[in-house]
Amino acid sequence: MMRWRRRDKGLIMIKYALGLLALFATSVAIALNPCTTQTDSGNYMIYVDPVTLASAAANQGVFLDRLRFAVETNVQELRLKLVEDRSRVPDMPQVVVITCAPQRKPQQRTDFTTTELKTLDQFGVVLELWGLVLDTSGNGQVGYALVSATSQKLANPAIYTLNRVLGSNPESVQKAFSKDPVLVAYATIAVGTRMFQNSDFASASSYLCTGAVKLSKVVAGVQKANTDLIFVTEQKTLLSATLDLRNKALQAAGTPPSSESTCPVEKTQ
Amino acid sequence: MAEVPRRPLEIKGTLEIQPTDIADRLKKIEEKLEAARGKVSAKDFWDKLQASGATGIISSIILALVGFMLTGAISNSVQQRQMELASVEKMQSLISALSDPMIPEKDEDVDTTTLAAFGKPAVPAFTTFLGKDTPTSLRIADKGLHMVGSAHPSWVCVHLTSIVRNRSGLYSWRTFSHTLDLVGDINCQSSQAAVQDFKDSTATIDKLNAFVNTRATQKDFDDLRAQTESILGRLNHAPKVSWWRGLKRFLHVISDDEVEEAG
Repeated sequence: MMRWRRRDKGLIMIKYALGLLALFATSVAIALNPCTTQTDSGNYMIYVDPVTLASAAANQGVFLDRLRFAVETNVQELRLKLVEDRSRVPDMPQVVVITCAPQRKPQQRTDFTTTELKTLDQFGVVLELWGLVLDTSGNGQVGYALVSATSQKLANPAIYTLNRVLGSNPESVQKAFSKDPVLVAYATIAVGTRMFQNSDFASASSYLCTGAVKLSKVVAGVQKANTDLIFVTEQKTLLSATLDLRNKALQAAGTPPSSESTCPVEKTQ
Repeated sequence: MAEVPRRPLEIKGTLEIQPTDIADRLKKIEEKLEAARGKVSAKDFWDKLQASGATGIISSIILALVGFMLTGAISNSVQQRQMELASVEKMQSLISALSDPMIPEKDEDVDTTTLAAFGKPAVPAFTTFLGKDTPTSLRIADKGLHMVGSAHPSWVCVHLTSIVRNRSGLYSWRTFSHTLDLVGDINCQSSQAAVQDFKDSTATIDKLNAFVNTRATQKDFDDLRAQTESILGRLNHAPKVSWWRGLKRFLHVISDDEVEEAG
């Protein structure tokens, strides 16, 4: 009797290959290239993806360094606070900004699949930032993937994009990134969320409150400019979820409700 | 002394021979004769076969059949081994390309799929990727073992079980996490005891960190704990493998190329 074992092995392999290629064809289009070989070592990692400019003449290496510098400037205050908190929590991790390899180019929210977000979460990434220059006049889009906030289900997923003028050369892009209140708010919330997940509830309540205050200011600004209503709605939902998590952190830390324990942003709502 | 005259003695009477005795004796003789004849005529099949000389032919045929089967099995085994060796050579370049942690996603996907097409011989390579603990290697291992596991679940499950049982500090908590996911996805019923043992061995974060090479944070521990319980629940509620299939697996008689049932 002719059985499988008697068939040509090569034919079987080809059949497998074709079948499997067809099966996984859909996942090919949406996965992202790897970012770095650097490991987490217990710190809070922020990934910064290279921004693709309309003109490809710029030196990518120099441009990436400028981007990292711009992002590090934004999170400097957060880093200093983490260093100060080491007097209370000696093994307090630090924020580390890592620029990704040029091949990693997220284009939209859906590029961050559930698997991708889970992997980032497992490797200690709390936030990923990317940018796109959409035309020669410098109009672009900045994207923020809040990995820890997604794993904590503050939003599903907590990935947001904001239309901004980035410019058409490395200098203008660096300038656009150098003072980014949205990034500061997100980074603080992302770190606070990870602290909550690691059962450091006292620190978490503090950072989540700070993040919520910063985010509420961003929302107020965008709302006033009346430029992006969808963004405003999304941020209000995130703000509410952040405050809920902060309350949970307070309860878990055993802090009794008082006027001091109330986050300033709650008073305004 | 006076001589006594001899005189003939005359005996008078009848010699009575009873006819019944002769008849009985004759009957018994006949019965014995009949029984002896019956024995001669009631030779079993084997006696007849031996008598006919067919045993020699049959034993020759059986010997030929056994010889044919043994030759086939040995030949298959040799061919299988040769194919595996040839596969290793062909897989080498793919494994080398996939070992680059910065391999572009497109190349990674194509190479992983091609490597998975080798089937069983590719499983150890994917298991090695599972132990490397980089985002790329874990993704490759996930994809590859899912692909091979869809056709050869028991083969993949054996390797996954050995990882779940490992307490040597060789693997990171992320490797355990991905392995548990695979155990659940492929429905490795044979890994159930190992998963339960893993759950018992990781009751606290300190117990977990005692045998992983990358320290897990509280969040990592909580996630892994929840995942272990979820996988155990999934295995408990998944359809069980039939006893016959289980027996076949136990006896290792499943054909090399036969598509197996999960479980």
